[in-house]
Amino acid sequence: MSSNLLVPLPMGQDVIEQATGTYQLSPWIYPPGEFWPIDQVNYVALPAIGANAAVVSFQVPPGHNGIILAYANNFVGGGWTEGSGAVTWQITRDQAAVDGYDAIVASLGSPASPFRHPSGFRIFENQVIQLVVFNVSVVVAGQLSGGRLAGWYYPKMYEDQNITTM
Amino acid sequence: MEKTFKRGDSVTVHLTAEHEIEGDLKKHAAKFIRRLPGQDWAEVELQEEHAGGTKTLHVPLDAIEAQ
Repeated sequence: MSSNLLVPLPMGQDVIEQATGTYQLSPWIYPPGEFWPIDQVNYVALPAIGANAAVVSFQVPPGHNGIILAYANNFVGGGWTEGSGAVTWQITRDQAAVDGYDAIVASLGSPASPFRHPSGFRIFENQVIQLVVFNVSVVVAGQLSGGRLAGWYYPKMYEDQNITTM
Repeated sequence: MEKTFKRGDSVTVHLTAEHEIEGDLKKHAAKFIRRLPGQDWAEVELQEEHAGGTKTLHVPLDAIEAQ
């Protein structure tokens, strides 16, 4: 079991007590009681060729960090095939691509059935999180792009104080 | 009758100047690349580059005719 060595907090969150000390359960793996669910779902019209559009966009609230564990992006309509690169997606934190999600050329799942990542990716206080669709070369004819990001926020007081924001 | 083209065929694509399918349609010279699997759409290479920086477009078959 993964755990972080932290200063014990007074409100009695989940901890493991061992002979070597008290260990707090990582809040991005085990949500504390004050967790706050994230589930952002949206569809947008396919933007013009050469343009992009935010499918899902939200800001991490003050005093909280979080984890995105499930995500989806899809394409509805004609003119695109998996892997063609004619439409790509990007998941960003403050407009910087999350590692591995810079130019997604596949549908990673429909919003009705998002992909559940084994570890997910972390998000931090005040960051703007976006799923963006970029139309490289598909003539617009009423197509849609959908997306979904799901996970949870937790109060920053549970955070490892040595964490470096990504 | 279903339109059939071969890779490299010279075709005319009917799109607006902004390469949309509705509006003031103009003729755009292009080469046929391939039909998208299972769709009434095709990939074509325009003679002139699109404003978005691409020459390759995915367009409905309805918008393509042989030259």
